[in-house]
Amino acid sequence: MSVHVVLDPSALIAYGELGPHSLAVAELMASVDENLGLVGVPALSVLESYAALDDTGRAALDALFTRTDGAVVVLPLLAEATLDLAHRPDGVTAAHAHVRLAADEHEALVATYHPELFGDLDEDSVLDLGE
Amino acid sequence: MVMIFSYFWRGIFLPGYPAGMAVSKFSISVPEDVAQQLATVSNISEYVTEAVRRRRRSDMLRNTFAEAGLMVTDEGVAAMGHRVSAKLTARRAKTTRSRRQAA
Repeated sequence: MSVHVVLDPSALIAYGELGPHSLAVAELMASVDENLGLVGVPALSVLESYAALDDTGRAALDALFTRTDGAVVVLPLLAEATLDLAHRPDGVTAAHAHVRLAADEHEALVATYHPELFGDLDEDSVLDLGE
Repeated sequence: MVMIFSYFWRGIFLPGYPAGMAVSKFSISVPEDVAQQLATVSNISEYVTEAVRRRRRSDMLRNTFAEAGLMVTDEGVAAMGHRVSAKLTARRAKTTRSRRQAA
């Protein structure tokens, strides 16, 4: 099985907020699972999202990572990629740089509520969850 | 349609499974369409194991959403699936083309 979609912090935070934008993220994850794919979450997206969420939101993400039998996987930041991220362009956060790197590595889509942050990528590489 | 699982032995070891992994043996009855499908596969145990694990993962995912108060619908999942498939296919086709051109 391969990673079909990589969630950026905005997607993960939207899920954890359990608000009006959460359902689209859940449906995305269910659709990826039905199509025999995995949902990838870069480690730096995890860190940024947990920092932005309250305890309820963090518990929702805990369940996502620990009780879905591997449908959602955390993508590690490996040593050789760390320098790439350290040399990222100005204005790109480390978490977003990690999302780009992971999506490129797995030939996966970036799922986001902020497509403008990935405006330089091919339009077929980005899934706008706000559409 | 009748499906009967008869669990009759536990702890046996079968080829094709990791050493030390205990397995259980079942006798099952399945509908004809499933029987025809199983007749085409070389390793029925492996095939059924994979199908059950897939179903378990799907159930766990949906249960996690339900516990969070998120009621996903089959229609919503299907619609999102169409969007993802279309973009993923296009993305990977472009990657393949650019790799061929670079080669």
